[in-house]
Amino acid sequence: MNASAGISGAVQSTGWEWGAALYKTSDGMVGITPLRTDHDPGSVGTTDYYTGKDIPAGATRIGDVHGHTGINSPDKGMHMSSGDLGIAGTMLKAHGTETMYIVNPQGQVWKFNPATDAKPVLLPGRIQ
Amino acid sequence: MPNKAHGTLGGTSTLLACIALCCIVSCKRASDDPLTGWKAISEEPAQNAILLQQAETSQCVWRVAQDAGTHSIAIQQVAHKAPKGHQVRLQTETGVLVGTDNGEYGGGLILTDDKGVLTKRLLDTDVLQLLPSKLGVLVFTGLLHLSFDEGAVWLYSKGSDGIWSIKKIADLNGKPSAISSANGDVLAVGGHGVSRLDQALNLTEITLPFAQVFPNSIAEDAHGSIYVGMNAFVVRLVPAKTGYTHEWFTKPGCLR
Repeated sequence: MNASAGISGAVQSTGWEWGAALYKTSDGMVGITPLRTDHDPGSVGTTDYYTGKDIPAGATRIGDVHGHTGINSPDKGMHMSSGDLGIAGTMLKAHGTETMYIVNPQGQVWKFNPATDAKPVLLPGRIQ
Repeated sequence: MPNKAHGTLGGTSTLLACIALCCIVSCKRASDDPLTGWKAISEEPAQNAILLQQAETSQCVWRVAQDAGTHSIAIQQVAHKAPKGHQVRLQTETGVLVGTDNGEYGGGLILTDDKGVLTKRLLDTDVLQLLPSKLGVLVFTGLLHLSFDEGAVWLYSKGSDGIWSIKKIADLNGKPSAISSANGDVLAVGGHGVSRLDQALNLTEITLPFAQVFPNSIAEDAHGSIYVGMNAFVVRLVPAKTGYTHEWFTKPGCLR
């Protein structure tokens, strides 16, 4: 939720999507990479995954989190996009696990794990 | 003696004339160099985490372009834009090609008639650029989202049977963030370097670590040097015996 709050604020103040990758270290700690943006309201790369520089050595990428602006979206960015759902499946194949979170323009957080969730799940609460 | 003196004087005059000419040529070259007055960066930014971090948050965003009239390179400071959707159009003999790019929400390439009525759907992917070429229309596609980074170039062309169709020419090394037509070839730049598509549709790629410096524009001058505009920096790729040498430049105040 803390990461979601940071993303929501960054999205609202810039009009761009912001995001980060989630990882798990060898001792089981879950971490998040620094927030980044591609200065685009319709997409964001969550890390420079070619070098993986933001993910600590020995840690495993386990998911992504990003915020929607609502721009150019048929549903005003309220739900996971077709791109999100498709990429979640691609990430599951690539890394063996993937939990995706999005923050919509109203501060709601959706979660989707393509291995266990039939469809995205709306988490309780709302980012203020 | 007079002759000798005259000869010496003549030699001196010739020397002075040569020096003056050299000065003029040098000044002309300097004035032609779009990076005159810029500060050269001796270290590749990709090797320096501090430079990369400064570039990522820099307020300097440099855009390069080739002037259509003089063919010289122009560099402008621009702002990051928040585009309200991206659409590209191109008139062809079969109708109007309309490409759309809505990032994670998808895009496509359609063919419409002159009234804008859909006649054919050609692609279901984000379309970034349409460029006419001798062999047909080049269509650049791509998406960078989360950890997905793909790009491709397609050709919409008329076959020997007279029927128009679209086919993929090549996958690119990630989504291109800028594409330009230069000196007959097409150049594209993205987070992983520069691609060149020649007029015979041969693709060559120069791998460069651009993922963290946000390249936004690319242009080639008449001498074959390639300029890339990005956050904080302009990089010039100068043809060498093998490949290109890389020259990085910035301006005071862009890195802090």
